[in-house]
Amino acid sequence: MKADSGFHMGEKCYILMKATHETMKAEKILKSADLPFKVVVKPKQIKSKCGLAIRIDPDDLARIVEALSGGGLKPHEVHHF
Amino acid sequence: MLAGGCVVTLPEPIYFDNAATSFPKPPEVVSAVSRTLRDIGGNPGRGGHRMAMEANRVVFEAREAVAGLFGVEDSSRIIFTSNATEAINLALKGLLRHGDHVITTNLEHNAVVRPLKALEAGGVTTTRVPAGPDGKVDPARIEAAIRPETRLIVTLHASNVTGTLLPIENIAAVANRRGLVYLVDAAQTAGVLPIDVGRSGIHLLACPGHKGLFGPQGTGFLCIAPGIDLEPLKYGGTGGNSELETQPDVLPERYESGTLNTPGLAGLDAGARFVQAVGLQKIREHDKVLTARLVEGLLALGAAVYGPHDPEERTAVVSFNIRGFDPAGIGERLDEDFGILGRAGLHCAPLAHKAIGTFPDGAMRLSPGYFNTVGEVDYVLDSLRIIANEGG
Repeated sequence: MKADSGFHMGEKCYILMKATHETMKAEKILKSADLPFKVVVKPKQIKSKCGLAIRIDPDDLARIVEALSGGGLKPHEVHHF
Repeated sequence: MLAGGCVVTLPEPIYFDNAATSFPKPPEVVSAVSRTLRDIGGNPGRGGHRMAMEANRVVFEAREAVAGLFGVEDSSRIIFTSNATEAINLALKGLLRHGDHVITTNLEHNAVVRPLKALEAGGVTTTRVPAGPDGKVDPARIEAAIRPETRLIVTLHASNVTGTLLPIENIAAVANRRGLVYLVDAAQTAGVLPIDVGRSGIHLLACPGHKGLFGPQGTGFLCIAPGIDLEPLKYGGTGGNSELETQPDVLPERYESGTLNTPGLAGLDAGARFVQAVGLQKIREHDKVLTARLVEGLLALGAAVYGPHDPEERTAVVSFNIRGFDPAGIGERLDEDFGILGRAGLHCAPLAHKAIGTFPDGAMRLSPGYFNTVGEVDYVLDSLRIIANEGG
């Protein structure tokens, strides 16, 4: 699994799935697609039901969403900050 | 084995109690449990550190493995429980309300009988459709018992006493045609016979992890078909949605409060994948060979063998009595003198024994499994011959 490069200067992107189960399914899809991401506890700014978030580089959002879509998943929320 | 007319007890016990729990487990199951205990801390769904994520993966993969085996497209609809009994309780207590009517059979295990009995106090009524003397149930009799207030049909897939297979796909067809929910207790058939929840129209499937799926004790699950909503059996922490004071709606968390048996589920994952790898057909063929030999040998001894004699119509769960013998005595002798482990008594299924006429004394039950051999069946029969010839 490729981790993202860590904290960015500037924008970060967090994908929230519906719940933990979907997050684990997303992790499996993104791992096998060899895309850079990290599953983290969601930052406090995000008020979401799911406790986990998928942190990515904003530049990778489109292809990550596409990979998830191929696996039958859709992000529940996407946050940029 | 027999030597010069004397029985030589084998050093290892001969385990013929797979209907109670499967033994031995495949080595990969033992490794998976052990590795999880040794290497993975953290609590699945609670926290994002590397070990908690590993624990999440263990649980997720177990869910996927089980979903794959049972034709469930969305693995979030596999709800892990501690055993099939808990799964059945979740289904019955989660679904039924005052005034509901339930149709079941007179073969059911106490896992179904007792919760239904308790629900009577809450205004739920039950009709028990009688099985024939060999344990067979006619779906037409189930349909004939339907009333306007009928909500649910619940049956076992195979009897843990007679081994009789019930026609669950036909019963599912009746349930779907008549707008009823169908719960199947697959305690004796999960990992033994193919069950496709998606295609069969079964709405709720309760399974143990520790029998035909070769997982450890302390594992089980309920498959909930889309469109079925149950009240949770347990309320509490689910990991996510921590800010909510109410139980979340999302599956599977809605029904899985408290810490899961992560090492157990690692074992269940390995067991389910073992079954996939061997193939249900091969497992079933092996069971049929052993069952045929055991039933034939018991009949030759003059034993009363319950359930259908045709191995196509039953599982490898064989209950019998020998005239003049207390089944408990047979069980003890087999264990003490011959190292053969089976179960004597009522098998938590008094209704089934009443149905076949063996209540209250019960019967001796032998249930070989995938790791038993024809040679072991022959040794069991030789031992029983000795016991029978010595008299009760």
